Amino acid sequence: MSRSKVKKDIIFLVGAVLSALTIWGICILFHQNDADIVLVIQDGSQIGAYPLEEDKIVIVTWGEDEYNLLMISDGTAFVSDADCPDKLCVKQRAISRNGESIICLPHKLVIRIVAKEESRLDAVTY
Amino acid sequence: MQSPTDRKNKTAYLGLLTAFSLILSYIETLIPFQIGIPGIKIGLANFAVVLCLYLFGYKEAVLLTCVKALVSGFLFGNLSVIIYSLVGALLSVFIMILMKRSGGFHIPVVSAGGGIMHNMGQLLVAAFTVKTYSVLYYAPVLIIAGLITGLLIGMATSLVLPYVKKVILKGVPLE
Repeated sequence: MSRSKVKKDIIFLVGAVLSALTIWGICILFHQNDADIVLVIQDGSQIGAYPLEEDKIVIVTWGEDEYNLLMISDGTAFVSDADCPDKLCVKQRAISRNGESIICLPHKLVIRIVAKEESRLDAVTY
Repeated sequence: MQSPTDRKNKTAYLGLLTAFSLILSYIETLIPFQIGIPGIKIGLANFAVVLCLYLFGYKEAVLLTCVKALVSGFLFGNLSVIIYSLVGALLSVFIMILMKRSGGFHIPVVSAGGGIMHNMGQLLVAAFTVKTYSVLYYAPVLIIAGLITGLLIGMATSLVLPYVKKVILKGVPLE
């Protein structure tokens, strides 16, 4: 066990761990720029898109005076209030992940989370 | 200089090492090692490659790696497995050769370098086939995993190496 070898060993191992941490950090920064988006689709057409990171309250109107109150806070989106008859959209849990959605049938409303760049693959074989 | 018997012996030992690496690959397919992250393997077959690198040399190690990746791919995998493991294994053996040549590292660390590069090679193939950079999120996990498994395999190799060396290079029979 020569001293210089041990020193180089340690330098290599520390370097590897540091580079892993660096890439991890870069990925986190990169991920924030690539934020997920809350899509609001009514009657088949998109009427709004909001970043999931920003807290926001959106009133989605339907017909004359009916509404759904969409709230985006702490990286989740949910319908906090609505005047549709069954209120299923309010009862559905908050969504935060890519592909999740909240649907209000009476108001023909779909709220869905999409990634900026969607993965085109289901699985990869290693 | 190598005598003809030496050369014959070397061929036989290389065959043994190849068989050893294939058996290790097979054992690895038997071990249910799922921790939720695809692409992480123990890399048992690296054992044979590191042994070969330290017993014989660079050319032999590269040869063993190619044969191992191709044959184990045909036996236990499919074409995509062959591509993944060939790229990973070649990158891994090249970095190990460089690290051994520099003479500054112990066997476990050389093996750890190989483990890391094996994973990075597979990640490169994945990034190339998927054509997104999002697979890079795996890089830190794979680096750490390759480091740990490589270190362990390298430690095992460095413990075994003196005994195997005695048998193969000096012709002392095993008791």
